Amino acid sequence: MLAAYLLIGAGLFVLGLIGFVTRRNLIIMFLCTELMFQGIVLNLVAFGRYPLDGHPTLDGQAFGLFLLAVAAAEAALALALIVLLYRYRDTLDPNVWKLLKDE
Amino acid sequence: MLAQASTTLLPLKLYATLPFWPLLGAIVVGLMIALRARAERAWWPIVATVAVSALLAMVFVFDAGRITAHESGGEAHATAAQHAVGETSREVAHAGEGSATGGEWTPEPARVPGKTITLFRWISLGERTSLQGGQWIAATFYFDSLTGVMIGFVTFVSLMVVIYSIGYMRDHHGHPERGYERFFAFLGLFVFSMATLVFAGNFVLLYLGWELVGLCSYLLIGFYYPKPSAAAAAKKAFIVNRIGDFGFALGIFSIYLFVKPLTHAGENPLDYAVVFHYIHQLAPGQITTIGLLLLCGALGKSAQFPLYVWLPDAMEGPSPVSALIHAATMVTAGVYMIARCSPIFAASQAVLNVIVVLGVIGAVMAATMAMAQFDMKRILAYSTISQLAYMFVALGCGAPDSGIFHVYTHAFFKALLFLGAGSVMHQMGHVIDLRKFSGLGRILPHTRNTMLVGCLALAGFPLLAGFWSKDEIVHASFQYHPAVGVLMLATAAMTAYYTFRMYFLCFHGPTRLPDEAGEHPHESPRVMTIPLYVLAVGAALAGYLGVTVAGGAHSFLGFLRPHGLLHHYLHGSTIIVDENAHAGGGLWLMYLSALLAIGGIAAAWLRYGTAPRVDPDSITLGRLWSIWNAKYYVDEFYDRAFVRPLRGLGRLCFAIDRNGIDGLIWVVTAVPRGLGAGLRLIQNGAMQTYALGMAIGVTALVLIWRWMEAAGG
Amino acid sequence: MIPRSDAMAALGVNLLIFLPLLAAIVVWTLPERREGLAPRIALAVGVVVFLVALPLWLATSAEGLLGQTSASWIVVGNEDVGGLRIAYHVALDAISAPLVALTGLLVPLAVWCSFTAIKHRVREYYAWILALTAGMFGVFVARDVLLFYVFFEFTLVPLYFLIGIWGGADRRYAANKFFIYTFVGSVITFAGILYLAIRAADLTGTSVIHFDLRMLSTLTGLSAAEQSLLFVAFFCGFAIKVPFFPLHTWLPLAHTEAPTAGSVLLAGVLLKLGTYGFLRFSLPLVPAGAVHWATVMGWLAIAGIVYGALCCWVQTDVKKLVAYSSVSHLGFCMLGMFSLVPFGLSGSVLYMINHGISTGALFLVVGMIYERYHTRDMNQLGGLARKMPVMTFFLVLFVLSSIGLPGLNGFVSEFTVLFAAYNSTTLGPAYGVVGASGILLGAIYMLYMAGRVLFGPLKEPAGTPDTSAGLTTDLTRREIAILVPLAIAVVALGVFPRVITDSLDPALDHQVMQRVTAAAAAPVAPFASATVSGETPKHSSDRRTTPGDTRGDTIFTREDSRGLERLRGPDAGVPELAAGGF
Repeated sequence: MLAAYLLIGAGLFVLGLIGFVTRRNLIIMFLCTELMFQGIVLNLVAFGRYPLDGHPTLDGQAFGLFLLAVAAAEAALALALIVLLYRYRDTLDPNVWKLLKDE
Repeated sequence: MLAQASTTLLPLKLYATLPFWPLLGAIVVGLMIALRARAERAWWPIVATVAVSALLAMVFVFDAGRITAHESGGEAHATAAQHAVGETSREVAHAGEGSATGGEWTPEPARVPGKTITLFRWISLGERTSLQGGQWIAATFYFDSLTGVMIGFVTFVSLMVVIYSIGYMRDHHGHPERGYERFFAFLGLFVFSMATLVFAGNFVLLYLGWELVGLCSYLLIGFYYPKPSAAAAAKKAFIVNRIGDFGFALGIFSIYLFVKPLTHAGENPLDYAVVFHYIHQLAPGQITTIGLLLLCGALGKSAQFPLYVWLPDAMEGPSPVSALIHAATMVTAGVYMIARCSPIFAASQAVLNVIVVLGVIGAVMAATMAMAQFDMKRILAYSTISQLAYMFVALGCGAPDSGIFHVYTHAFFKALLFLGAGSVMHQMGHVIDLRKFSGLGRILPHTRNTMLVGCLALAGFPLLAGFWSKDEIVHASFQYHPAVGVLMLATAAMTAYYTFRMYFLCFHGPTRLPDEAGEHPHESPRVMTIPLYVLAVGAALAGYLGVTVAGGAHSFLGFLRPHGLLHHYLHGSTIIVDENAHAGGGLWLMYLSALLAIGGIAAAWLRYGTAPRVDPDSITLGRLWSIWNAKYYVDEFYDRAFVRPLRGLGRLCFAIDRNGIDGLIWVVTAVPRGLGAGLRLIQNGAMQTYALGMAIGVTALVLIWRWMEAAGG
Repeated sequence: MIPRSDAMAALGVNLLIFLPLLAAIVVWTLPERREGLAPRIALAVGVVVFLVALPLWLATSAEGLLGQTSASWIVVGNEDVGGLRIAYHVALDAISAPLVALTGLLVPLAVWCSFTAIKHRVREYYAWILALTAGMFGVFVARDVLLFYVFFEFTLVPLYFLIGIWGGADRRYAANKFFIYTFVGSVITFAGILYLAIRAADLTGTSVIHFDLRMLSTLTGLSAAEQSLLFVAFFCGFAIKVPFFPLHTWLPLAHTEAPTAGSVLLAGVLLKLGTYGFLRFSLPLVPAGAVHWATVMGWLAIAGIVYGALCCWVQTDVKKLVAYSSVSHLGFCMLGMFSLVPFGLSGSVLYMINHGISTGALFLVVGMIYERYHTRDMNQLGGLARKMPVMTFFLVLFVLSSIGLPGLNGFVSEFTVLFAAYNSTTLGPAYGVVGASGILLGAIYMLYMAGRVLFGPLKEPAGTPDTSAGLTTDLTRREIAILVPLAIAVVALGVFPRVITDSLDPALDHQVMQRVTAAAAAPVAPFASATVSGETPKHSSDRRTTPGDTRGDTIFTREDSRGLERLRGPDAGVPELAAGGF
């Protein structure tokens, strides 16, 4: 049963990852990170429900709830930043922001 | 101390101060310069101190003979050393460790007469034994009759030259030249250095004197430094001398290398006494090595073939310098050194042969070059080379006493000639080219008279100083090999010829003056002519110290015989004379060489008696004359063969430095630089690439971890 | 003046390090309006360190340490679990004392010569000079090898900034090259030191790794292969610092670009860190390695002598010429050291001192010319003797000292070094001959330089000499006062080198020579048991093992002494210890 959950979680994560590295829109990319988040939360909950030692606890679900809260806060912040970036360059293409590269 | 007082007129310690007086004078003048005192007075400290040295030397000449006479029988100890200078508190602290009780004990084998005086310990050889008093290079003086002869004429000629310079280094109005005080300071330094060279009791101190006289020569040749030729000549003199010194230094190293294993504790393998004592125990090859290396130094300092090229150029210096350093004293240092090391050289016939061959080449070559020059001082310079070559031949033929005899007579007449030439130059407004003036005999009578004596002495005119000493050398060379003897005689004839060519061109013929001489050239002041007369007396009579008045069939003109007081005096020194060298020849040779000298003078009279404006020899001899005039192109050859390739090598090295080695360093640094440049491409600034990289990296890490788990367990 | 008690001496030794350091902080933090105080404070500190260093040097004796201070600095772990201890252990002995005195002499002069030359960022400049001073003293007095390394590396930083900020046109490149070049080498040395310390802890059976110089230099039991490799590791750091051919290429650039004071201290003191490192560490710590590599070192030394001299001859920049002459001169220094005979070592140390004095002085004079003419190009300068007789006097004097004129300081060391190489059985006459050609080449390039700059017709760039900054055409009194002490030292050390060698020779003999001869005599046995001799008293003539040695085996026996005799000469006798103690 655990394997099925983990498979779905991994699938969500990989979908998010692929989306993150391929899309050219900051908002879509942000949504992809959310997708990865959910894959991980699913893993946590699954491990909580089907632990390896056979004694289920609520730990995984508790972590999941915290993560959702953090993700929500982060989403608010990130969307605000994206709006700011959009104001600077009038585009949401991440490739116009290459300040990490040393020229 | 009591015993010493009974054998010498003055305590040896007092003689040991002899070199330092002129140094003191030089320091005083140096202080005068620093305090910007008037140049006018700069001469007196030097004249006074050199006079003190000369006086001391005169007394010393007597004492040196007495020391050697006394010591050659008995044992010798450097008693004066025990209370000598240089006792620092540090040394006392260390003295307790070993046997060093303050003084050095220098063993004096019986066959090395003379006294060693230790002034102070100079350079440590760092040996453990040195801490106990053994291995030191000390400042030691060695006194024997050879020292006596050398120091006698060195200080005397120095005094004359210094006095002469008081007048020479001024312009026509009697105002001191620029650098007047500097000149005297250098002269004082020179006399100090030369006296140290002569007094030195070990090879390292000899080397010190050797280099210091070279330095003075450098400073004084370059006295007129704004003149490029003077600066170049000074540099050339120093560097050519350094080539010789390179060999000389290696010779000293070799002496230590070979002699050290033979010595006992407490003996210093660099002291003359020790070296001469053990020299016979060395292998022939070792002696030859030492001899050849020491000879290198002598060739440089005494301007012998093939290292003579600096001496003619050295005439850029003021004339008193040419007289003192480049004729009478410094250049004879090589001869002195070989005579001093006679025990070494006499032990190796191979080295003696080399000396003779080089001497003969030098004598003939320099004499021929002297025949085709117009610069009066250069003629004299080539003559000096030629005469020094005579001395070398004497040394090589096993007659070092004759060599020293010639050194001594040569000092008088050559100094006289240079001072005379200086007097001419002084009045001709620093023009010295024989083509530009003639008939000066009427204007400069005193100069003319004294120069005549000097020229006759140099030409080997019978009964004058040069005749006796040169004749001895010719005798010895005939004994060595007839061919050498013939070449020596031929050179003697050439000497007479070129000397009088110069004399006639200068003083005879119609009076012609260069523009530089001014309106009314006149005889030099008395401060210059008096030294000329004193030296002229020396040039005429100095030879009689080496001659015995005795009648009989073997006497020259029926009443004079070669060998006299000087030779007996020198027998008490380290000189080793091959008695065979003096045995040969015969009276006919003396008459022959007298005849050749007169013949040479007569030939010069015939061709140059009227001081013709065009040199007759240049027409008669043609091509040969122009080769002589161009000095056999030796300077050009050296420039092409040595100077330029070496400088090219320098350029090559510098190019290697910038491109080769630094290039290699660049290649080494290129590895991290290239790696960095490659990795930099990955960092393109796009966050999606970074994310991908992160994902791949994490995946890879997990996979590696899994793989290691599997492999490990 | 001479410290009476060891406590006073210890105070002096620590003062040498901490006074300049403190002064550096003070100078740095001076308010801007008090900027004029910076040079004065620095000069005062310079004079004080000189007045401290000189009596300390005079007070050192051949035996033992002077002014010892020892405290734990970095301690990790303890005896039970093992660990690491780095000590702040400083003291003077007869080998380091002359170098400390040299540093003390050059620092105030270097500060003083900057008075007119440095016009911007003045406080910072003097702060760096003072920091450099602390580092230089630290290197020479350190008795803990790791402490030595710390100071050794620390000196890089101030000089990096001195070159990089106050240097010539190409200063940034020069500073970077200097820093990276020397740093890369010394990192390898650092690895060697760590390995040695770990092995030493192993061999002596102590669990706490420590870096005490005395312990390490009496250590036995390292295999020949280990020693050989360790020698190479040490070589990397020290040889670059020397600079030893062919690792010298940073030097001409650094010298040419550095301000005068930087050049003076670089040539005068910092290069000596390399030679001092060889003498202090390579030889006694890994003697078998030193013996093994001695001929290679000899080769490189004579190559450097000739190569450096030839490079000098084609320079047109006076300062670069003097810089290349250092390559040649330090070749002499190394040649003497690796002749592995007592007078070679002694000559080598003398060479360090003499080179510091004469080359430092040459850089000072060149700097004075540069301040007036703003060029060092020999094609643009000439015949200065007529205009600047005083400068000419000093330049000629220092040139003569540099080319080893007898009677001046250069001769004593040059002669002894060549003498040693020629008479050494490790090297031999061939090395002496090639090395001696350096005395000829030295005369050629130095007189070439003097001839171009001083003699001949006057030649100077338009608008010069520039006397705006309180200078005169010839040297000012301040400049004369800077050069006079060096001139005195040049003559004094030429006539009385004994002031150095009297205490130096026995110290070298005990601390270095005995180790090296023992290593040369008996190849180190692979399984020799660990031996650390204790306090060995000064060399005793009774030739017995000392009580301190009873713990371990004496690997040296009478039969093995032939090699040693070979090194020492016939009258040297048989040494008593494998491990020559201090």
